[in-house]
Amino acid sequence: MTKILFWNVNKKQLSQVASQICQEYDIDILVLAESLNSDVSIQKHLADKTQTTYIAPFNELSNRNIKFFFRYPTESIQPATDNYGISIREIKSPLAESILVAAVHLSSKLYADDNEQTAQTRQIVQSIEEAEENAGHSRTVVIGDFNMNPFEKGLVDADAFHGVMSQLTARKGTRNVRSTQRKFFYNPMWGRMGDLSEGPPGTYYYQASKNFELFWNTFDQVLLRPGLLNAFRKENLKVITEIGTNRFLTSDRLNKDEFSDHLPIMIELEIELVA
Amino acid sequence: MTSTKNLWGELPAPRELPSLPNRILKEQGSKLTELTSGALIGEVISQDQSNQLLASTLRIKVPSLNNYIFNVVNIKYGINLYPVTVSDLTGQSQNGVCKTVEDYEKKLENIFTSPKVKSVIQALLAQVSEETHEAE
Repeated sequence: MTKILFWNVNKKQLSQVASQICQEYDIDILVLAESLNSDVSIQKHLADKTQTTYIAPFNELSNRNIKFFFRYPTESIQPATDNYGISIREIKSPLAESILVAAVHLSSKLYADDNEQTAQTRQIVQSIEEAEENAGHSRTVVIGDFNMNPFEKGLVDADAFHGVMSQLTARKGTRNVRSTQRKFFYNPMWGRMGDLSEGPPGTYYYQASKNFELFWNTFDQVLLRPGLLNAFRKENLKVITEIGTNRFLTSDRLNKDEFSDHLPIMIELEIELVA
Repeated sequence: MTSTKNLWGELPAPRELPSLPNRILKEQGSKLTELTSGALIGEVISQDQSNQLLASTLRIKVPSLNNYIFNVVNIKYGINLYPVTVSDLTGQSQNGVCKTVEDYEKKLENIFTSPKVKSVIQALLAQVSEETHEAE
């Protein structure tokens, strides 16, 4: 099993809480965004809680405070690409096929309109496709804070993430759009929106005095290439709302006074990368 | 034989263009390659861009690290070349609109000499050195 946790900690001192989640859920790869803590202090908290060592190679290459922590040997991790808002690492395994883990933290709607967000997404997808070509495979998982919902252009457009809500559609692999083959991603977070979905209505809550307001947004998402779908079960995707006595939600929204304005998300893939 | 009447009038002499933003970027990419003896490759790629803008990205490619790519800066400019919009892809500075060659070169210099880019180059050269020793 390979378990990946992502949390945008909103510049809060939450490495102890993140470490507690890693302990509880037995996380292999921790990805943080907007973390201001040093790698060393986070590693110390991780070691204290989990009694295991997480390595943090190549974090100096990433931007937007994206940080990776791996419970794998150093030689298993290879940097693939760093671009604005995305860091891609390849996990090489003697036991299984390698995978690419891409962590994203895209521009906020406060600073980028829909067109700008979609344009940024196209560049990011180019980086992913180039990393896949370089690695020689497309076993890619993308996880992070997209600052867009699953139904927005940057997530759906064929020349952007091309994230679909159905595994059956994604398993077709590619789709021809105006003479160009566009690869699919499967986006399971389509199934995690609103009250009738499992877990909270979204991962981020925002309310302003605007005519169009969603209140709950599902900005934190995980996307899978078809090559990883056999390793995925829907019950292995979690939006985490509490750990121990820490409650990340109030009665109707996020408890962002004490914790982050985003909820952590976790995915477990049924692949054994490293013994 | 009747000669064709010139309806164009007197054509203007070619305007003296300022240095092409893309050429400056490529020269700086080559300079990085030269300075690191090819350990790091400064590569410029052109990108599709709508609204009649041209766009290019300078990135550092590391052949000995399985062609790892670190994106440094993106530029966008129109048919008049300037102004150039410069986006710092390392996330360390705000995007800038450079109206002249001098502004543009200053902005690039600020990004290339930023602590972030210096530390990335240092880290990559260390990795390259380690890979080289392991291979020997």
